[in-house]
Amino acid sequence: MFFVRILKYVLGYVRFKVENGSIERFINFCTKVDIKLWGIRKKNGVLFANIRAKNYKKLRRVAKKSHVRIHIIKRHGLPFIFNRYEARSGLVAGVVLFLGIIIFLSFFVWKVNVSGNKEISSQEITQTLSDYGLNQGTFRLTLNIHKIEQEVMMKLPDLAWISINLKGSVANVSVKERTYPPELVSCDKPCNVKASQTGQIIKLEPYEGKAMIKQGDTVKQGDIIVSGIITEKSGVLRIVHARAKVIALTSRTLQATENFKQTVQKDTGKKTDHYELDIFGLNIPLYWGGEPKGNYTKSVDQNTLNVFGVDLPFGIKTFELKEYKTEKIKLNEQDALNKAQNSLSNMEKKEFSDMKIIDKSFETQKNENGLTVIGHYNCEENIAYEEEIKIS
Amino acid sequence: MAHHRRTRQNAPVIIEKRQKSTLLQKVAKVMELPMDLVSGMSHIELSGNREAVIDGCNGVLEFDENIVRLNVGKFIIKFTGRGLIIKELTKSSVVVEGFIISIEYMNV
Repeated sequence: MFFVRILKYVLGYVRFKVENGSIERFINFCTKVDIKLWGIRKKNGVLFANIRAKNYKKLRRVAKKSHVRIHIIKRHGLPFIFNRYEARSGLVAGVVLFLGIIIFLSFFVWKVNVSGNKEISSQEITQTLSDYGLNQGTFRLTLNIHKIEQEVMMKLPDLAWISINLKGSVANVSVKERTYPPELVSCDKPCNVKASQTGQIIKLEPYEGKAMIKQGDTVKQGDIIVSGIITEKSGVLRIVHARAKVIALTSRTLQATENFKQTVQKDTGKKTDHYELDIFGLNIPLYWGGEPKGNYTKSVDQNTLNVFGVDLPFGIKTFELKEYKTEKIKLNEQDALNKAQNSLSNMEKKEFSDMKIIDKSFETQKNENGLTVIGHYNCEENIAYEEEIKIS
Repeated sequence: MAHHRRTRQNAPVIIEKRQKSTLLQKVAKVMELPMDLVSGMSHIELSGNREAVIDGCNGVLEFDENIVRLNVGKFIIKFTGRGLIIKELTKSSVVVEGFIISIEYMNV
């Protein structure tokens, strides 16, 4: 009975010896008061036996009655080991507390990883997840993952699929974004093709409808280039959705103005760092007083404690506060011109991204406040746009 | 009580007085039920000559490494052997372990 042995060890037992007097009497007394003995052995008139540690005290009375003397030989079992370390109970308590905290903390989600997203930001997904109950510090065991998945899918229609995998205290969230079908031009509505810009047509490719203008003609903004209303030779009127590619030479202007007197932000060189301790999403400021007075730019740098490639929910946030002041400066003519040209070329890139610039010329106008650079551009561009024919 | 009588070969012969069975024992015999259960007799189980489990023991009369004498109600049972120990001892049962040479029943 191995199990009984273990039980005896756990409960603790004492090996003792009995001397003098009637040993049989002692044994019978023990059975009478229902004390269990085992491993009873007699050698040279001395009896050796085992007894449960708890019952040893009762044995003293029995020994007195049966006129024998009892002595403990050895104590066995866990209770005696515990007794030995009673003075160091703090150590044991520490171990128990440590294990307890580890087990307790493993009941929570400490990290949410989002992967597979391209268009939707991870922050948005994390925010939505936390709205529906999955964030750092959530109790893990009562989490209804299936429900959260469904709710997040409802909230973010751009998601095609989401899966939350809890691996220990880390929630790995894999998502797949929806690919929308391309928008189709509805061909059932009658349309005209019109000019979006005034210019000279150098290339005209009507795909459907009747061309009203020949190649080489000039058109004004809003003129019909290809008509959706076709009159057949037989006199029947047919209304179609006109489509065409119309490349025209157009002239466009852009302008940029710079004042000589300007106000700029300038660093004063004064800098303060503020630290915040981030524990489980709770921010504890490590600085006294509030924000400093004056004009400051603020930039945040977050350092998260990382152990073996795993981010822990502890970290330090560093706020870098840089003081600046506004200063009035006066530009000379050359600086203003450079600045204006610079902003003009930026505008050009932005505005004429889908056009071909054939040639360009600049002129500069100046007065006492500042100067303006005007750019004249000759471009090749598609000026066709479709407009629905309203038939009442 | 046993009467000892000498034969011609001088060997002791033990003649037991026939014991009367109780009503319960008779019933147990007729119904073919275990005798120890029905009539409160002790139950002894032997494992070879190494271990004896005695159920229904009223007390230990003598204990030694060579002799164990137990009171089992109507009888005294005597184990003789070498290195005998009492492995377990509770209110009504005893486990005797060791090299058992003989088992002897004696009337009280």
